Amino acid sequence: MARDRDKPDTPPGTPLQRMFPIWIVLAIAIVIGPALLSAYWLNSFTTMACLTIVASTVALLYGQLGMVSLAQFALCGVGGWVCLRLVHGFALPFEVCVLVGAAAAGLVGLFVGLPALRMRGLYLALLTLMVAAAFQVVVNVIGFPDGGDGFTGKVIAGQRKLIDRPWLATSDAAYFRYTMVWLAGALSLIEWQRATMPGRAWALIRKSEAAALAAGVSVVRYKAWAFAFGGVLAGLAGGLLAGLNGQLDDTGFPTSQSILAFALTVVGGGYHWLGAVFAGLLMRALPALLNDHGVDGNLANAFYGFALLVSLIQGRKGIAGQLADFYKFVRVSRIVEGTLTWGLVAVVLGFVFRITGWNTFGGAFFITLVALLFRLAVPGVCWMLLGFFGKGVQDWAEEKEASLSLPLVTWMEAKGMVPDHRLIKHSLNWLFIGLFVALVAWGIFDVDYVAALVNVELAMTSIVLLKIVLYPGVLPLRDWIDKRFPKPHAAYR
Amino acid sequence: MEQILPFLVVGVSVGAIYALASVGLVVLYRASGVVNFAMGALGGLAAMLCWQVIDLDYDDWIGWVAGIGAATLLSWAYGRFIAPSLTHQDRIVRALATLGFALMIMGVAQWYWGDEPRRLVLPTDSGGFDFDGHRLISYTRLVALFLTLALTLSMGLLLSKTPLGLRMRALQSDRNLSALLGVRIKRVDTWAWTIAGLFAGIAGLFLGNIVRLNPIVLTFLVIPSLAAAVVGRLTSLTATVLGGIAIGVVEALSALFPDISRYGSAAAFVVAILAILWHQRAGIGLSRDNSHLE
Repeated sequence: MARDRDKPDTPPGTPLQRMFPIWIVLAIAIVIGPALLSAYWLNSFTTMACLTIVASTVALLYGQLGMVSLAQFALCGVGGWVCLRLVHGFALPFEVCVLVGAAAAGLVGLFVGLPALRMRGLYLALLTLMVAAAFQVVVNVIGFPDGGDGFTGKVIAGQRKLIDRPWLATSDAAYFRYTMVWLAGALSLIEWQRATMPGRAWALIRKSEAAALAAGVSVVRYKAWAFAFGGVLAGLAGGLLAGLNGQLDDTGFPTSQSILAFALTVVGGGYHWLGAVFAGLLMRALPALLNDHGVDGNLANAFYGFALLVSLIQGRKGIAGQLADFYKFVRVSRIVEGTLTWGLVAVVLGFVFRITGWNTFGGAFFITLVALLFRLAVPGVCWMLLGFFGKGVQDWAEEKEASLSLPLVTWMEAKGMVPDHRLIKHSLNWLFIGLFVALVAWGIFDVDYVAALVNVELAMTSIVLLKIVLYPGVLPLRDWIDKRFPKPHAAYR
Repeated sequence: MEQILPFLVVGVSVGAIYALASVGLVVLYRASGVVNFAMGALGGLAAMLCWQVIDLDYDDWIGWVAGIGAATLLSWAYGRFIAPSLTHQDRIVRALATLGFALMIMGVAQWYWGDEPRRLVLPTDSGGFDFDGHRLISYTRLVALFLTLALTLSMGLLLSKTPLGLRMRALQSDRNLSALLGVRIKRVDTWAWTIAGLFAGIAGLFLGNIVRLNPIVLTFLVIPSLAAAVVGRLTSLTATVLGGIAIGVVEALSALFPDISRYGSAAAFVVAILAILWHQRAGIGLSRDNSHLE
């Protein structure tokens, strides 16, 4: 079963403390999202929020219980179907329909999970895969309700009817905020469950069912609860998706999406709520971005497959797990320092670009932050890719890089500078991140590629310059902060 | 009976091709413990490549060799270079890694060949046996049926009579003990992957001819094949072939009943779900006798 290095990192703290970061992040999204994004991307992000909910249920089952469910996206479809049927048939308020749809999906999830009470591992994955495939066939035949008569509510001939959005949120921006609130609720619920009795029971079941039984944990009850709970949240996402467009596409819930939802949850990280957010972003944003640039969105599938392979082989806890590790190993002083300098650079660049007219304040601010985040989160992208071809190749590259860097570094030290000892690696990363982030920004924020590139490189350069200038001044401050917030595991970074 | 016969024949022949891919799945699973989700994608790649080569005006047989060869080669490469870095993981993780492999192949194939309607024509398509004035069964389906039976038989012989088969069964029983006794695990695994790729390629050509020549459709035809393998508990060759044929027959016969005909393609999944529940019937509470599946 799960090996030690795959253990979920249960963040410490009370349920409320654990939910707090979710609220902060989503509150920021609610405030700045509509101001920054075009209508198309706003709706895309709303979709991503729904997909995030689905991914979080996959993560719940996989990360917490070690169970693989490939049917979560199909459950999302069930929730959407029931929600649409209720809106068309009974004219109930949207929220009621969403919740009833969620409950129905929860029931189906429980039904799917029932055989799982006795099985885990491979057979469960195969069973859920079959369920997802069967759902695809059924929904292809009966379709999603669109205001017709009969049980299926399908219009045979004539105009398809759309459902209205809830009165709270009729505009795109309002519906974005509305979905974000639902998302915050869903993630908080999961976090609450993970932090309390069910979470502990799940963790124990994952370790060993026999141990759980011996400890007096009702294995059957908590497994069933996990499936029902996951189903409810997935169904909720289905209802929200239905509300976004007023209808659901009959071909929109294929098996491939269920599989992708799982793959990307592993890539994003199954042990942390941020992983689900990354999964949601990847699932929708990358194909759209590629299409924007005239590249076939299908290449995204190839990338996802590659990412899934890498994440499984490396046994890491996904992108979110890497971030969590980062937090664990980096001193508080550095985080404070980083936040302040990042904020400063982002604000300054925002004003600079607005004055020159190359970009809006918000656009430049955001691009800067994304660039710096990339600079931090994936310092060794090229190296990680090399590692995929084998440790030997990676070692060879590291050695070559070191032997090339050394003369440069010695020369710089002789001139009295304080160089970075991985000079060439970092410059390569700069180049890579600059080109890549600029490409992303070009797609999302409607700026010139050159402007975005200048923005990214300027951001990364100024952060380093700022560091060099401030270096003598911040040393005592760092010591002072680290004494107040000691971190026993922190490594030098 | 006369009304049912054509559907029965069609069902048996399609089911036999599902079974062909499943036999590859089962051999690989028995030897290396990996459920290969990429069978469909490999088959899809084989079919597309074969079509491409024939479309470039080469001889048909070059196309077949190219398609099947590419699938075998890719499967070998995965088994040789990527699968070993996952052997220490759970079975489920190793199975999911092939899902990544499948997505990669499918993504690239779909990007290169796209969605245009195409047809992969085999020379056996034109002839066949007639019944009541209608074409009952084309030679292609007949060839597929006999090839399935022959290859399954040879796999059975391979497993029971040859040194390689002996080593595969040893691995199935206990990998660590086999390693201690001197079985070259990596080599046997690689052979299993190569065989699986071969089966995937052959099945892919037939499915590309009979079902539809589209990378995504062919990739997800791995699910009915998996269903057939599940009927045989992922270990029994005979039950797998029977399961595959049963799935094909149920699928085809559902066309006789207008009410459920449109749900026909769900037959495989229903059969598989029932099979899983049947296999799981013993034991209450904790998982029992499933250790080989975890």
